[in-house]
Amino acid sequence: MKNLKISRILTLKRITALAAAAAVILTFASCTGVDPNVKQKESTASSYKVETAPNETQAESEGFNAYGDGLTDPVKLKGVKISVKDYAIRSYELAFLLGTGSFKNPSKLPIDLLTQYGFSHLYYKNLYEIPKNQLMACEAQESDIKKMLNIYFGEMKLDLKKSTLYNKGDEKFELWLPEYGTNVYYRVDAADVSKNKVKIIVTFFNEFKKSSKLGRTTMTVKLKKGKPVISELKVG
Amino acid sequence: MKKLLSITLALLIIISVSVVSAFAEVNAVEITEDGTYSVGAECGKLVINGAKAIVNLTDVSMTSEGLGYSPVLVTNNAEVTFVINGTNEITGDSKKESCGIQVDFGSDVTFEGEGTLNVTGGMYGAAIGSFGTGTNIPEDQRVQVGTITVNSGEINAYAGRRGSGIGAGYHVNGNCVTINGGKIHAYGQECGAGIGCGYGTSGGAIGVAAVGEYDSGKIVINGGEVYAATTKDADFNTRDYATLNANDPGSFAAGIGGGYGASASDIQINGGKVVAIGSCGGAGIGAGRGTSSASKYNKNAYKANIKIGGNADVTAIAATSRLNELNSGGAAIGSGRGSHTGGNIEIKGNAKVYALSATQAPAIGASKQKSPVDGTIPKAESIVVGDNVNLYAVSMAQYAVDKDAETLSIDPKYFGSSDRYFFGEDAAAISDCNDVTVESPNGKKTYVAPCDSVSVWSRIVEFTEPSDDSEDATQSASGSAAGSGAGSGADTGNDDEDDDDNLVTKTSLGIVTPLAMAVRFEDGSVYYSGDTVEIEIGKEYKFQMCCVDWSTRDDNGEKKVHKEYEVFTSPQHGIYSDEGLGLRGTVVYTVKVSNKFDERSYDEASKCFVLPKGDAVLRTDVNKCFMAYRFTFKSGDYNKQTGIDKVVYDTGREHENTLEDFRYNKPLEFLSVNLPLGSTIKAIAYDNYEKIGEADVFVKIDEENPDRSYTTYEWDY
Repeated sequence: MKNLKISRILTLKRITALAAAAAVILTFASCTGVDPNVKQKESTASSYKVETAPNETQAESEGFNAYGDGLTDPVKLKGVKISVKDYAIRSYELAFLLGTGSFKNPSKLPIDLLTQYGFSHLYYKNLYEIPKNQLMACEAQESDIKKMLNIYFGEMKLDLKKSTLYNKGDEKFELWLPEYGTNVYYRVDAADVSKNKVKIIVTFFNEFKKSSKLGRTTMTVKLKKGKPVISELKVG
Repeated sequence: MKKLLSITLALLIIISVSVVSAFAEVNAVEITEDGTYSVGAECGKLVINGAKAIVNLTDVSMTSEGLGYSPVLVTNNAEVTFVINGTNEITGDSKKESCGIQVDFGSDVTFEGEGTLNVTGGMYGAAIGSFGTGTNIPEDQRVQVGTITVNSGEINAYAGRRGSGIGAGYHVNGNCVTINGGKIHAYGQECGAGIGCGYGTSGGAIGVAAVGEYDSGKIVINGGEVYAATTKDADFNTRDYATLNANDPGSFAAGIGGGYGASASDIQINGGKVVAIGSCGGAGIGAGRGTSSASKYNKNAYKANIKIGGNADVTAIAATSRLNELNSGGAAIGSGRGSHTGGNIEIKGNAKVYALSATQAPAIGASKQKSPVDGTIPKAESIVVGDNVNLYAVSMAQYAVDKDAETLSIDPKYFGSSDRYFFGEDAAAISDCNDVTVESPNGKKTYVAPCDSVSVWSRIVEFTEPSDDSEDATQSASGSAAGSGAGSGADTGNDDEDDDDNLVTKTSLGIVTPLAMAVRFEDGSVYYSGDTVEIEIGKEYKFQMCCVDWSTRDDNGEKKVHKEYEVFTSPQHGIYSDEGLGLRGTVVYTVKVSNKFDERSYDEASKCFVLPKGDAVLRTDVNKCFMAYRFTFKSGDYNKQTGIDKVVYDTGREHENTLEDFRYNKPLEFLSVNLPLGSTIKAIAYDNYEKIGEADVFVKIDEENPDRSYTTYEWDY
């Protein structure tokens, strides 16, 4: 026989604070600090098929980290800086942590998947950082999840309350944080900047040496109301 | 000189007794005239030639090994009744075409008596019936077989290579087998049926000897105990249905009916106890496995016509294969894999029928492998289930009964409405077969399932009215609880009990999970089906669903199976651990034990279970707490497997085709796995265990069919 205990439920206040923080971080990602694990280059605005260079200074460290090389510094789209490495991570999250497969319209993704994606990002900016042994049953409101989805995909007409994660009785969303924790090994092969979109092509690997390929993604990022959002993803 | 002496002696015997010839070199006896005869241990060969005879077999021991003939031959329109006494052993020549007891076309053989007959066929031969040929030939050139009847006695019939136990041999049509009594065990060998015909064909030219053009003939069972399987390794311990009778990877035959590539045009079971096990694509009762090639399949010839009635007690099983997953897929009653039809199936009278398909075919109807004719999904022509039939149908991953049958007639009392006929949609994976709760218009019912190892299944059970006792108990408990709350009530005795119970603050919560799943509470504790946990009454506990790692082993490489599953022979059990064994879902469920005896509910909108005090069992197996994923391959499942990272995967061991190997270390063909919602799986496709692709899949409710608890994932390969 075991006694059970209820784990901590995060408060709305904290959720809101986290959401706001995440929004700020993402919006200004390109002009904030740099990932010490990723070698940076000069900005290559309006670049096309940018040359890549391997990062020779990285070393694998404890915890869950993203180890990227190639083109990892921002590009510009109509003057707006696009954080290549952030979208490389988003590509990994969608393709491998959530299994979206390829999509051309994010609003057509399963409602459960979108809700879980937005919900998880309320708690972690990078989903690969979620600890493995997480025991937290989280709560959130629809507006908070929508805000997060708007940041990544732009405004979408979604009825998140159709999600399995919605607790109709208590009128709130609930989620056991997914077991996403992992290291991410990637190389940004190219960023194809055209008139109103940028395609970020990333190869992911299974290990630090980057000899065993996990898969490849091409993410299309567009400007929507002046902000970059994910509009397409091609996996494979 | 010796031969001349023998012939002379034989002639003398013939003259002296008028009717019996004895050939000295093998102690042969030939009966040519009507009468009653006795044959004992001294007899080495017995021929009944054109006579109408009663022959007492008493402790005979005949073998023709190396001699090239059948030890017992009934020929030339003879009519023979063998009376079995003592224990008799008759064995054909395993190197030459022969039977144990050969019954030529035109002759009739009947078995009676109280003794035991152990009979083994020779090469290409039935134990009792005909031998055949190694050549696939048109019907007019084929060997034919006579009729066989069993009235009593214990007969153990072991086919020779590619023959049936009782019936026809290799490339031979069956004729007529009738069983009125006795205890019969009949085993086919290498694609031969237990009772019916031997190996038909894997596919010749249509109109000459294509699949379906061989036929098991007429098989009638009116009484007795009949156990029929496709291999002598079969045991009839029907506890382990999923892998039963699957030791022989080459058995593509029915237990009763067609061998590989053979029809079953006329099977009638009117009484007796029958257990029939087909495997590797053959039906339990019905036709043998077909083909995937249109040019090798005669759609006008392939038949599966089965009638069950009277007081027959029938268990029909289509077994999967322990060592050869790719060849599973026959119906328990109906057609084999690789056919265009499920045939015509009629179950009437007071028959009691257990039909279990441990494959991805319905228990009753058509195998759902794509038709070799046009690529469509086959369906039965007609299925009729009568009013008084006690039917229990189980399928691993299909409807219990072929819902697509062109004509389907089942009495409405099965769950009272048509949409409940095919239980399994709403509860596709049930783990605890000893406590299966199903919903019917008149409330929930609990049944005991006869198997432990079928992962996803559906069923039909005759609906029974709730007993008066249970209604009284419910009303009494309800009244007591209400009375307690109001401070009054007529049923004072129960009120007193309630008062006492209200002092209790803790209670045991029983856990029931879908197969190969577990629940994980907020403190990280993990519970499996059959576990109990002490919880506080009235307090809400949050939990999540997990699937276990099927390949779980401990540090010493030993299997690590939760105690609840130790009795199982299935591979589908292991443990979940936060250390990377199995997968967790993300949906938050809540369970609370009420302080009342009659409060039981599951609110899907809030994912909240409220359970009554005194009967607190958390059933996560029937309330959309998971999704059963089935994996198939677009171009066919032959030689292709699916694995899932952390769940069922190649652990790197050599594939030695041992039972242990199968249990714990292989991706599977027809993988059907229960998964927690919100998890993301890495599924891997294999061809002959060589990886050919992978996919990351988000496990979710099917938005188009939100009430369905299974999903099919089709690989592009």
